[in-house]
Amino acid sequence: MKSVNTAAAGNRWIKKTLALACLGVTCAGASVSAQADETLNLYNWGDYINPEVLERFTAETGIEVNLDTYSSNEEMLAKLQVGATGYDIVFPSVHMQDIMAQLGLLEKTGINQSPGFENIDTSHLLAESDPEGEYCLPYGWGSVGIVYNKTLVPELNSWKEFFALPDQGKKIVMLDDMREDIGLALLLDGNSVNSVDPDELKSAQQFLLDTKPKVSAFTYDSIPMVQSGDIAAAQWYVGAMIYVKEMPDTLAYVIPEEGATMYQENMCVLKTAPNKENAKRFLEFFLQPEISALNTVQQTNGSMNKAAIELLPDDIRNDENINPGEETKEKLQIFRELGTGTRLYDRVWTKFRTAS
Amino acid sequence: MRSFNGQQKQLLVLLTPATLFLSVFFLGPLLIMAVSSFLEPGLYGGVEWSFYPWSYGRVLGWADGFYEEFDIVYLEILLRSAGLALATVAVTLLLCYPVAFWISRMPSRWKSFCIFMIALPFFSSMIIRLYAWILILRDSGFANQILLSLGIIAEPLDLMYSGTAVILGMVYIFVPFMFLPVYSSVENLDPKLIKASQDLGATPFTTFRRVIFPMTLPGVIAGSILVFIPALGNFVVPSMLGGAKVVMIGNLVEQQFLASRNWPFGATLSMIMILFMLLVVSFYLLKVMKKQHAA
Amino acid sequence: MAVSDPTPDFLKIKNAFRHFATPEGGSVRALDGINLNVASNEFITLLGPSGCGKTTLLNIIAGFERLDSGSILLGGSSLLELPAHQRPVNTVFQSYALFPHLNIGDNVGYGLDVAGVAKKERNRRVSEALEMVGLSGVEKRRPSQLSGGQQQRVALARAIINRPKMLLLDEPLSALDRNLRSKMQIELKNLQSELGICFLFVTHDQEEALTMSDRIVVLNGGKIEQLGTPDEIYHRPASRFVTEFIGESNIFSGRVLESTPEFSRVDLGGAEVICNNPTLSAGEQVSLLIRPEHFHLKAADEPSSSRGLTAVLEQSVFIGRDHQLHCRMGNGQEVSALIRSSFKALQAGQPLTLEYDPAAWHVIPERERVNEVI
Ligand SMILES: Nc1ncnc2c1ncn2[C@@H]1O[C@H](COP(=O)(O)OP(=O)(O)OP(=O)(O)O)[C@@H](O)[C@H]1O
Ligand SMILES: [Mg+2]
Repeated sequence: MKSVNTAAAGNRWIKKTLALACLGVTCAGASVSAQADETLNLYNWGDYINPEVLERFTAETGIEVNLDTYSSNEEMLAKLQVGATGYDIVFPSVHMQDIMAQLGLLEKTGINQSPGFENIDTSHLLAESDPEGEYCLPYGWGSVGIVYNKTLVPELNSWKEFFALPDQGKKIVMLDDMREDIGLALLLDGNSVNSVDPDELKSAQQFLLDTKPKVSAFTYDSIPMVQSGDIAAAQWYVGAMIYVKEMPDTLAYVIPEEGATMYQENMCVLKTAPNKENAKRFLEFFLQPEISALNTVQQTNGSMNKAAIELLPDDIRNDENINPGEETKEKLQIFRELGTGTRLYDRVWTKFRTAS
Repeated sequence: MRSFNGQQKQLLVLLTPATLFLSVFFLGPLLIMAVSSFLEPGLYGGVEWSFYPWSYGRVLGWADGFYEEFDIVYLEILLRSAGLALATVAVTLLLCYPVAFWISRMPSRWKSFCIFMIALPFFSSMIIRLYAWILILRDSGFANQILLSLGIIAEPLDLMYSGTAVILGMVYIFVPFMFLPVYSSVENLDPKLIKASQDLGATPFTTFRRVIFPMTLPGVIAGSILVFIPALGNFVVPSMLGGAKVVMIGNLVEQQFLASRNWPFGATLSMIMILFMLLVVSFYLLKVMKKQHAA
Repeated sequence: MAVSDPTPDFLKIKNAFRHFATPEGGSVRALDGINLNVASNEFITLLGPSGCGKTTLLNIIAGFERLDSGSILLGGSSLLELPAHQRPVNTVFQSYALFPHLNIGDNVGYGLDVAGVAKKERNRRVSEALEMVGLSGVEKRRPSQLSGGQQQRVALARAIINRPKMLLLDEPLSALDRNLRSKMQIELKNLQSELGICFLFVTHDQEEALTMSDRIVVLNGGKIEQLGTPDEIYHRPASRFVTEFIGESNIFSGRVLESTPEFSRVDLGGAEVICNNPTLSAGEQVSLLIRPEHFHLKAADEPSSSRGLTAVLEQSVFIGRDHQLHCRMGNGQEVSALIRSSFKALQAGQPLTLEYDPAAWHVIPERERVNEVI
């Protein structure tokens, strides 16, 4: 995801709470109504698409677009599982796309046959259930690195330096996220971020337990605190680049040299989509390089449309953090679905969260 | 007899919508949750329709490690959450009780103004109000700036992401729940009774112990229950102001429904939390009632 | 309880002043220079219209209100320095103020409980006090389970259990119905003589005051209008205010025509009366009053005298033993008389002569009418 807007960060709690409330009552509602002549219903992360893209689409096709948002993959899946209908397109992360494929929730679109698909970087066809791109269209990607305050920390290149900051009296925060934190611990041990090996997880747990006292907080709301200098550095999404560009003297973002986790979301059409034609049209619309670029400029995240990257302004195209070179890209690991391994993670995470 | 029947009929008419509402919106979800807590978790969330008592065993002790493993940590978290909820009750009570007396003695237009001010936070979102506290408590926040500029401290205090911040936030969120019932019982206290007690030779302290406190006890009980129950399940404050370093039972439930995708276990934890609440509240009520009878 | 010898000036109130600021920015003189001495076994009543300062005076003695200036001595020592809970006086409140969360036994025993009296002694005294007010065996009930009259008795029992030197009673009977009220009046009076302590009783009901009191203090606007026995207050009111407040009276304004050591002649404007009041001087303006029961109707065979007012009967109302006659004099003034019903039948429009004894007139010279309310 990785919405960056602080208001959106605030929304996250509300949405999580609402999601829980909904699970409790099994709200089957949430269906998008308003069947105008031609409509398209998107279900996306908060602030994860440039509104201009939607306006252009409507202007070009006359199809009215409705947008509903979620704040985690699990929330989106839970809602679909308890029977929410009416959505056409969702934006799952790669591992969630695999789960949804397993559950038979996704529609085969044949988008890889559409004009413009040749521009898509095939190394980003990451879903195991869709290696050819017959189902979903790669949408956006990014890394989870470190955002830091340059006045407090002149330079930061590695996780090692990051975790050494508390010893110098500087505060750090991490994400309050099971996969990100356990994944980072595994990665620093030189293991896969998707490991379900009990020993490797044990070692990761130990690292987290040792690190916990040094970390000031586990939170998503880090940017304002780093900006004000209350926190020196934070584990955060590449979306921080929006703020870095606004305040280049104060803020910086880095993909640490040990590597980092990465995320990627794809645009998928649901089996239950009421407007499948329109959905396909939207996917094809988004294949146009200038539309894809229009979105990336606003989101400052990674693009997998090679023609679109060419159209980006220099400061985004050449930014090693937003569009890293092959060497850096190799150090990035993407999350996979863990299956029953989730139970192991749950235990590690609970142990870690309850430790003092 | 005739009027009694009439009253009954009226009662029926009055109670039916409330009963329907409660059963649909309160008992319904509760039932769904109770059933889910005994089902097997689905691999990708949701439930499998087979009987599965091991979620409870995981918390309460009879999981043998084959399907699930017992871990004392869940009960610890429950107790810790209860501790925080109790602390919140205690602090809000200590705060609201004297203030309620103070406000009840004010001229009536000041009274309404003060009550309005105390209820005011209800009108905005809890999240936004907690963000305001972050702005106050962080190292470069208002609290530290004021203390620094007054020369009271030389270095910023570590207020943010601490136990103090959590208690502060909890108290702030729940103060109106305590204040309103306590205030209404204080306001209804007949000043003549206080005079009568003094007149009969009771010192101010004895008057408080024997008359004022027992007379305002219903408000105190109502306030305590109203604060305790939502405080027990609250996880937003520990997450936002405590930096999620201390996990509460609410966090755990959230984790089960989202990241860990174990709905039955989430439901189990919720059910245990609800039973625990019922237990605590009825124990409290019983004790208080006994005491009142004895007095 | 042993009745000790009465002390004459047991309670001494000297120059007591108390004012309250009003929300409108003004100020009310609730007590405006009160001087009062009360004996230790006296039943004394504060009587006066609403707002005249009765409750304020009681509150000050009980310790719930302070004094602006002045002093109050009880048994020779000053009361004002003591906090309410240390004063040897107890109060029976207007609305009883029973503790709703305590049963009757605990309400009555409250004073003993806070004093730490041993349980056996306490229980004995509680039943004794309840017996005194005629309410034995209700210890376990709640106040809400008693009638108004019963609650009143409980309040009384609660107030006397600490054996106060003085009992303050603020309109204790005002919420009771007429029958119960007369019954309680007698019981209260009996209780007072049984206990032999001073009762400071507040009422705005003049009949009640006249029935029960050893002495009555008539208050008006924070000042004492008159202090005296019921007989003095009724028959020799000191001011027009007292006259109007106590009982029914015919009040006339007049000018003295002639004054001799034996009698005076006063002109009421068209009518003339003879009264025994030696200290008047001719030409003086006076208020004259006579109670309705002091008129007689002359039987036809009796010789008429010059001591009578002639008037025309307008209405005759039967009120039990007596008839109330509403008449109008030649000069248009109204006059009412109370006569025995056995008298022969009277018809409206009939001329009558209302005879009086010159001694029945009470004359208040206008120069003394200082406190009259306008
Ligand atoms: N706390 C107070 N604040 C302001 N004014 C007061 C206060 N208490 C009494 N007063 C005023 O003082 C005057 C005397 O009041 P008080 O209560 O003594 O009257 P009262 O004789 O007991 O009347 P009632 O027969 O109605 O009980 C009244 O004008 C009243 O308005
Ligand atoms: Mg009064």
